[in-house]
Amino acid sequence: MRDFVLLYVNGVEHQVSGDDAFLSLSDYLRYSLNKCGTKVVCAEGDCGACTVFLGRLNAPKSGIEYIPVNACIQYMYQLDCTHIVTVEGLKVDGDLNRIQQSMVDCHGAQCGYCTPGFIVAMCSLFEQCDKGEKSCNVTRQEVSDALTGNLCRCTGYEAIIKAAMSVDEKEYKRLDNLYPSQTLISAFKKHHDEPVSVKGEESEFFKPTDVKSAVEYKSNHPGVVIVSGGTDVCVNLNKGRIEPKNIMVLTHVSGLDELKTSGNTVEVGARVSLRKLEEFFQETLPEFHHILWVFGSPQIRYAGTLAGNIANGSPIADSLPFLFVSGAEVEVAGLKGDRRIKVNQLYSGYRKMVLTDDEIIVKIHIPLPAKSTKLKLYKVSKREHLDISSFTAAISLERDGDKISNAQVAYGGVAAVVLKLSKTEEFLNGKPFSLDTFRGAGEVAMKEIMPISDVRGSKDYRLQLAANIMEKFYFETADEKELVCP
Amino acid sequence: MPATKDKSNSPIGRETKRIDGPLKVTGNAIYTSDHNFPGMLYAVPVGSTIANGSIAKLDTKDAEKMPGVKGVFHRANIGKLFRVAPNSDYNAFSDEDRPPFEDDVVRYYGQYVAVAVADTFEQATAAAEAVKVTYNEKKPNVDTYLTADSKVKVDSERGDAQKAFDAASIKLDETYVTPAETHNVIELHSSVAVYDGTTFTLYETTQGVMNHRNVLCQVLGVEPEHVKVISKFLGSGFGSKITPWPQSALAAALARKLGKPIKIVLSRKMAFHAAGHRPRTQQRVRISADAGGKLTSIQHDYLNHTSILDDYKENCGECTKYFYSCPNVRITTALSRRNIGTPTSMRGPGAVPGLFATESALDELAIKLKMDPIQLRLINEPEKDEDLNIPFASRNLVDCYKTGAEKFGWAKRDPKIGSMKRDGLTLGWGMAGAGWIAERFSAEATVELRNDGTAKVSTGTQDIGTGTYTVLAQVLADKVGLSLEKCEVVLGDSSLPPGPLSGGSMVTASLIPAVAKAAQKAIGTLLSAAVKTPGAKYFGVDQKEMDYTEGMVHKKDESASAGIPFQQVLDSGNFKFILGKGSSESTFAGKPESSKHSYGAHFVEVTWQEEIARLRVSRVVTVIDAGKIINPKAGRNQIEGAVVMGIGMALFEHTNYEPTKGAPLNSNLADYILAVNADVPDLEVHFLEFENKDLNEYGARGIGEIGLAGLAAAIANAVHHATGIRIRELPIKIEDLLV
Repeated sequence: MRDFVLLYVNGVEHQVSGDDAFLSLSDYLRYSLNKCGTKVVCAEGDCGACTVFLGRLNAPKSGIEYIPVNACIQYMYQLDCTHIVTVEGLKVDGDLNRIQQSMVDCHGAQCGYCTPGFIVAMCSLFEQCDKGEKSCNVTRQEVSDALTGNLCRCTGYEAIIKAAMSVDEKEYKRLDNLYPSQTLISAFKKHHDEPVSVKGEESEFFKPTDVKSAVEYKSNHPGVVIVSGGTDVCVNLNKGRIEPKNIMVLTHVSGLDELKTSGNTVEVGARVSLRKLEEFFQETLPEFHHILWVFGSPQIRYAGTLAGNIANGSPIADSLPFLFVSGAEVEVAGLKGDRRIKVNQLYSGYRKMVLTDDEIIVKIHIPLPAKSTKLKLYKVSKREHLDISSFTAAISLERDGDKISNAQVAYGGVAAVVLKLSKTEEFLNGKPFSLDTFRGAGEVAMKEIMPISDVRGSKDYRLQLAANIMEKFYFETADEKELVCP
Repeated sequence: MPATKDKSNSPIGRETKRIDGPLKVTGNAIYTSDHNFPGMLYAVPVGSTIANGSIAKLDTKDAEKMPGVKGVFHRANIGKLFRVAPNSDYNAFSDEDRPPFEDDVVRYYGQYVAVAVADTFEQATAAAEAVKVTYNEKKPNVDTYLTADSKVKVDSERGDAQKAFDAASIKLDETYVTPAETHNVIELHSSVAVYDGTTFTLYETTQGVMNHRNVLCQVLGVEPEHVKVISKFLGSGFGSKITPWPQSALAAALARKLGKPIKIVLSRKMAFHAAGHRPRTQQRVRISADAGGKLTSIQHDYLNHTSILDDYKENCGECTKYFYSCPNVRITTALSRRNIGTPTSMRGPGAVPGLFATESALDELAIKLKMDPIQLRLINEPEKDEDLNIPFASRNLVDCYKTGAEKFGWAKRDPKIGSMKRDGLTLGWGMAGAGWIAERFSAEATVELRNDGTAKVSTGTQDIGTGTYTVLAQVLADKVGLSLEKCEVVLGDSSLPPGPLSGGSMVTASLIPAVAKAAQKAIGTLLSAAVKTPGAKYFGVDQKEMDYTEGMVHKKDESASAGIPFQQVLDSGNFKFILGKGSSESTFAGKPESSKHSYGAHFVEVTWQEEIARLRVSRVVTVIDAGKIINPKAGRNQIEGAVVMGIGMALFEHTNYEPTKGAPLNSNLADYILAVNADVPDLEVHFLEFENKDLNEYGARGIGEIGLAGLAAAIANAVHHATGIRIRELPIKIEDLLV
């Protein structure tokens, strides 16, 4: 068992052990390495100022894949066999790289404090070019999307967007050229499959490499906190809401990174990132793709996982309404073997799942809706992007001619858990597909939920949304001729 | 000074890249919390978890035993800290006057009651959490409805406004509310204090190194020469770093106590408690007009909340006094105390919330009069400052309206509510005017001409991110006739000649005369050296016959190229550098001869989808009348940033104090919503550069705040045009628009 975390920072190897392994990456960079270019502004993944590149072996283990992440919510124990590149590591032969130069030319940096994060996020947009992930003519929309996770309070963003738009992709020198990948690949290949355990003064972490040892560790350490992308767990660590004695990191458990279609079902491994999923669903199911796209910033989507969103179990988790109505199941592994649980039967209370102490989520099975199914997913939030939902909904049904059948309705943000609205479904089934029906369903839905008032919206507002979203569904799914006034 | 100079070569008014840009894009600009010193300890304050009451017991035993902990400090063991003596000018002022730990009374949520010190940040954080505090808790008062706690004061009065209002047939009496807002600067407030046994070196997040030093020396009880304040780069301030906050005194006191460098970095949450905010305002506006739209009275009675101990006034009547021609005006102010931390200036203090009220009211009045809102403003355009009874130095607000209307296409506006459509969306078009003061603080600067052919300007001001380094390099380059690359700017150190606060958009205007004089002095000394150095080319020439042009020393009757580069004069005299000092006065003393302001107009388009209650700001045209723009690149940045902040102000920003505990509920960047890039509309910014040199020789006025003034009103006016719903309390919530 290895007793240190192996990582590279700007091409230099570091072996991290003891309490340093329990620091956030941003604190490690700023305090242990005195690399202060990476700034901490919110310490919870909301603002992107601490964005750095995280490079990992790609799936075929033939190269290094660099993704942008928020360093404030990546802990050192998640970073075994990674290459971190910070804003200080982007210069090309001692000169500003093309993007840094463009930010100077366009006045994209004002006070400069959010700038390092913007630079990395912007480089990441160009880093994706040529990889079949992005078209190489960077559009304003792509720039805007890539920078969604970065807050600026000075410039009004215009100059920053302009800076990205004026870079020719060919002039951007990729990280593979700055940091030749051969050393990294061979080091990572060598150490990738080694389990790691580090003890600090007050906690210990374990990085298993197979499901069996993960399950055993979990059953032997009640209260263990499981970390994969860490986009939620690490926020709670930073806020002092949790102080775990034991941490288990799933970043290298084999077999959990598969994403494939099997028959009519999509199988999503527990480590598959939201970003990968978003790309996967772009063609297959645009409706779910859109929800994944507005899920959060690129930094969050690259790090976070669907399994994490399910395990976190927030009543406003963006993915849950769809998983509720589609009949998705989680596959869990435990000492007694595997079993499957319907996502809509997974929760026993506010952020509580029905799993036993030894069980971990290994896979999610998502049945794809039939072509004829009318499915709509909604996320209501205050801001255009990068916002926590105040209300979420999924509505799906079939039409037999004029009659509604197999109605499935799930709302989030209206109770302690995401709710499946069985009375509303019952009301809809067998009724004619008409505005009156959906108005009626809205009335039923309002009675079936119990929202509260909080900073994201008042109770009355949520009740009204619960009703109106039914009407919206009607208008969005009705045939055009049905909408013509008689 | 240059006898003949091709003005087209002047760096003044030229689009200039930020000279500190390369440092900022590589992570090499060193901000306060980036300073690390050998042996440095980390301090984390313990904030109270009540908003009203007192400390009954402070149990630090467990915390002190934790790994790495060097101690937990509080009222009994931190050492004596003093208050700042009352000060009428801006040389030594604080907003929160009580030094930390002065008594055991808790007056707001998050007030520091102790501070834990340890080897690492993580250890100090854990120790701070382990401090057990027992309180005698009382119910806090964080009510949002404001009533005057003491006698209402009259800010300004002319004529008999009440009488005219009573007599008028067309009138309006409405109350407008702006919420508490937190600055949420990107760089968190921090302090790194180093004490060498005699002198404190304080690395601070401050918009005023001089003020910070003058306050901290009093708080620590030491002579000013024993405190040095440094702030080389600032991750912006927006007012929240104008005066020192309690963490600064704690860091310095701990450095003295422990003999080790101390670092304190506030968390985002703490920055909502004890680092200032814009207070809630409640403004009753009564205006009346005759049938032709001429204003007959304005009454503006405003209240703002303040903390229990400090009298922070949000000067909402600032623009009301002079903005419109009106014979009868009365403006009153009063404070309403709350169990909330001390408020402070936030970008455009007073004018920004004030103009939301008055520019909304004007729109309402225009509707009552069935008159175009621009027309109403033109009718009431004043010829002089009727409050001070003096002429305006340069007021081109009418041009702002006209230019803005033309660029925006205002002539196509149909005033009927909800009548304008595009792509299935309802459009709302609204506009509002903007105003901001144009004054100067006193300032001193030195200019050096150096033997390597470069020049340097030094002054104890700071660049809060707006571009002061670059603008001063431009001014220096202009004054000494050298290229920008040869001009160095040194700021952010209280041991430099006293420079202005970065507040009130006044740094550039304040420094131009001081830098010009310093350059003139340096050049004078240079010419004197040229004629007094034996063996030098111009030895013995009458100094009156000498001249200096773009780096060349020469005789007036010869061309500059026939002369010698100025560094040759230094070399022949064996001088490393020649220094000139310059200073200029503040414009606040004495009665002004002219009324100096910047002006602007915003034109806003919103789109409204009633079915799903979706409101978006889709287009903004802003025209600014702020005199000469020294660096248009930085200038546009300022206005664009202000407009986007204004969208946040109108639609999102609101610090929400929970009534039972008095804590700000949304004290993080997930719940306190700032505009993201997806919220940014089509932005157009135009500068009208009318020449007026009342403030300085370039005719430059400030532009840091004017862009935010009036914008929220323009948005609310556009929302009314789209929806028919008048929003008088910010932010505009979807709930308000559901009918």
